[in-house]
Amino acid sequence: MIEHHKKTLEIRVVTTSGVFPESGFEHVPEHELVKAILEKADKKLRITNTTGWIAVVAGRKIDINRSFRDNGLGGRVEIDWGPDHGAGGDA
Amino acid sequence: MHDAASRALFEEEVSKLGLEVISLRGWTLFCKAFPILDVGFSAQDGARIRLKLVCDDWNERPPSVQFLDWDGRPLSVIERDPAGVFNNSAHPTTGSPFVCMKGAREYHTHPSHMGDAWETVRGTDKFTLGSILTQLWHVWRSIHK
Repeated sequence: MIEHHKKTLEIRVVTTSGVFPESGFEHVPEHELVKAILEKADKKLRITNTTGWIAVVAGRKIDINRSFRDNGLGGRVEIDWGPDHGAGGDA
Repeated sequence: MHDAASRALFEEEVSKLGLEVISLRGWTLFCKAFPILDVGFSAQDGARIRLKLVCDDWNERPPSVQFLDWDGRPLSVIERDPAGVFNNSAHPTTGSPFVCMKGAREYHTHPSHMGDAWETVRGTDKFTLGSILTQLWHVWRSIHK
């Protein structure tokens, strides 16, 4: 009998509006899309518009439309979630 | 905005800048007493800078952003970033280098951007004090990884 072990990660989303989950980590399967947990965090932290926001892990921008596995992530992960900078003006 | 309301909003937003985000980003919090939010950024290459956000009349007006060295002295010259947000020219009002990006008072009061009103973005998730600081953090990261 072949036993399938689903790999899971421990995730925490860190923003300047608070942290999700409030304590500890969320356990999520590696095939889950990054944006799924970000949406949970947005709802909990009452963030309504994340247009132009980026997710950074250990200094690297990740693709929120891909899974944790496809982003090469595993184990315990802290996602730094916030707005990317705007464009500079011509002043 | 009434001073008490401005202070209350400032303190509410600053209270959300928890240890987790400060630690994760390697920030140093020098001051968070209304109306000053003074935060230091450190890079792995040893570079450091302080950004002092003067938030009087928050959020009727955006914060004025000053560049400081680690000892709190104003910088007369700053490093440029690829996007041109950290602007080395003298701002017509302050005479100092300034942040040329929506969300900074010096941007919205600059003659080149008078038509780009703060009111169009004020109160949105991208322009809380924490979000403005985050945007400036990403500018800094574009210079110093």
